[in-house]
Amino acid sequence: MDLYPSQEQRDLASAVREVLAGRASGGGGAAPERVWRAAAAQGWFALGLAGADGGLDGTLADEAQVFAGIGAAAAEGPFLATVLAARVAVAAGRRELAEALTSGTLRAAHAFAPLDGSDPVQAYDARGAGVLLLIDEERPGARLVEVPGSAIVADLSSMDPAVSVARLRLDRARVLAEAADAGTVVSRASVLVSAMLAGVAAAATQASVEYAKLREQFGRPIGAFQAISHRCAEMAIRSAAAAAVVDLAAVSVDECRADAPRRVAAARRFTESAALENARVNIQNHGAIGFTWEHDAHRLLKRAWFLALSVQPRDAQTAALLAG
Amino acid sequence: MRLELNAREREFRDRAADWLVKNVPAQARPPSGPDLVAFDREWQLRQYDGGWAGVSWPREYGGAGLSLTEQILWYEQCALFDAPEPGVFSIALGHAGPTLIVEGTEEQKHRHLGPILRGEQVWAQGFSEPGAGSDLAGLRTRAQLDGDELVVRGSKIWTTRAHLSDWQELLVRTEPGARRHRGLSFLIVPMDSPGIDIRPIVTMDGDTPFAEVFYDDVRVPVTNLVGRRGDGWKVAMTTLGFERGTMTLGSVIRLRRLIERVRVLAGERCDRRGRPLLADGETAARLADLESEAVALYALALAFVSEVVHTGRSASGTLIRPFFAELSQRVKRTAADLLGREGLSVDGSRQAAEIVPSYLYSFGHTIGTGTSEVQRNVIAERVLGLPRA
Repeated sequence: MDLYPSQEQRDLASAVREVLAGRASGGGGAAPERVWRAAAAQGWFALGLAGADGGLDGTLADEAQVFAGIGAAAAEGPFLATVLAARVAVAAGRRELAEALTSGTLRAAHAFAPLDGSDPVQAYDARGAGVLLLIDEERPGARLVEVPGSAIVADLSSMDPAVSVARLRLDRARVLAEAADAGTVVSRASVLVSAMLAGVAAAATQASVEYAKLREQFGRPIGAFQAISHRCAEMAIRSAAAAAVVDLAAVSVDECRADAPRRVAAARRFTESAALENARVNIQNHGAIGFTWEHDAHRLLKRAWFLALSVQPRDAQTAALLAG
Repeated sequence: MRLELNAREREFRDRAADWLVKNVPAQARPPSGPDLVAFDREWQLRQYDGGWAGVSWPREYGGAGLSLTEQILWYEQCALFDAPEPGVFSIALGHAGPTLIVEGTEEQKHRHLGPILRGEQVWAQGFSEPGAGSDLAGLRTRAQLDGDELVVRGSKIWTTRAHLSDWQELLVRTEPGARRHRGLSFLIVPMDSPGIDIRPIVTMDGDTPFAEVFYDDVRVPVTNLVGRRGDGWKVAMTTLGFERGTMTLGSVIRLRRLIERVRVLAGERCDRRGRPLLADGETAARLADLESEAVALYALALAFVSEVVHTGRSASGTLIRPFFAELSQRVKRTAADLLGREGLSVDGSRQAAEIVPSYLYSFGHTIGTGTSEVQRNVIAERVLGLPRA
């Protein structure tokens, strides 16, 4: 029993931080080209795939370290959809498609919809993407379809600046791959979404603690006031537990443990609450500057909001957590 | 990171499970009084005879001399098999013993460690005072050197199980000029010393778990000092965070078993219209929240222990206590809510008899061993580096 990250995992986490540090936003949810290329070069998209499938033989716990960093940076770009799409492509035997995704030449958008149903769909990061990962949580099912630019019916204004939102018509979309085991894809997705949420929670804690040491009012740093310092302590508890429960869930999936589904749901729910609460409190801790567009505090809140509505929403979490 | 046990750990766990199946007492723990002490003693002695007392304590003092991982596995298995908790021995096993292992003299170790493991010594902790609760360093009970004895004068309060204890770890002021944390000493005091007067305190659940203790020129040999004179604060804090972390893993598993029982309760009981309580979306969501928090707390405790095993230290021990205290309070509150009007009588049903007192007692969780507010101060200042309030 050991939940301490290995040297490789710690190196990976700091490499991710370095790639994402100080980047300028590509605007409209697009990842800056430099970041995307560096991510592909470091193998973020191939990390969790088996060596025989052109992957790096990493674990889900390894991938979780990467996605915690992506969440903490509130980074733009369809990292998660591209990682999942590559897995679906591999499982369907579409080796070339998988290679295009893992090498970073092809980006994937994603949408939640019944596989043979609603059209048009609301999709995320469709601009600049060549394929769409369609996730049907009810069946469950996961399918990759081609999205030519002409499939975009309308570009919508996104609530979260880290993604773009568009409406797509899929009636003539070519199916490229169908996941045989969509349940696995959804459960891995849930862990990686949790990792990003844990990253958001941690980034909010760090931002509040740094600001509370610097900002002075009434002649002292605001961190000397318990109204602020106690909130920071609560944020620290939530973000530390969020990081730990993601690792616990990821290792449980890696080891195919019987309690993995419950732990994944626990991670998903806990990190969602932690990220939303920490992001909210972080804005309040910053006062008026935290209310501005210029400051990053709102980006964390919007990331948390977006991710909270990703795979495995609350009702599905509840069902998994209360399963006897 | 790995959760799978290696061959040695698996062998240990299976052996522990096998022993617990055969040895966990079938009868319930008596609620209070001498029967309770007898029950806890018997269980502790049975563990000792089976080779399970003090799993990670050194062999030379009667422990099993195994690693921290095995200690945790033991706590986990005890929780899974609903074995009795350390009970009246919780201070002895959780604080006094571990402190003596690190700071005690050879004579002190031999006098206490073996007997503690055999269930022969009940210990109390004499830290809080009427004027020094959250502000523990403001304590005023004095001990003055007189030849080869220290003479203790003052009073302590909220001393758990003082009236049932044989020994006490006592924090006193020995250096009159020194202020606050400096000038304190850590003393071992026999509870039958002349000059000690104990007055039990009735708590809001109707029980008498602790007492006020008065010291009227109580004479204690200087050989009962643990660590050096004036180093008492450091001695008292030596094992505090660490023990909390390791014991919490077992406590969290017990809490998760309680959540499981509450879920079963919510599935069995119905509202006025005959609908199971669990069919109500709000109740289901509340139980799911509790379960997810308990899993997260378990993960946090495991991450803490893992970091200690790898690096010898971890800052996150202090995060665990307030999280655990507040969560366990919410779990018990939820259980009480599910009882509805049945909870208005403490002994009207088996479930009410278990849940109502446990809910009332849970108010102590966020006060004892430092209020939740003091814990937040500690996290803010020592873990996050924020300026002092």
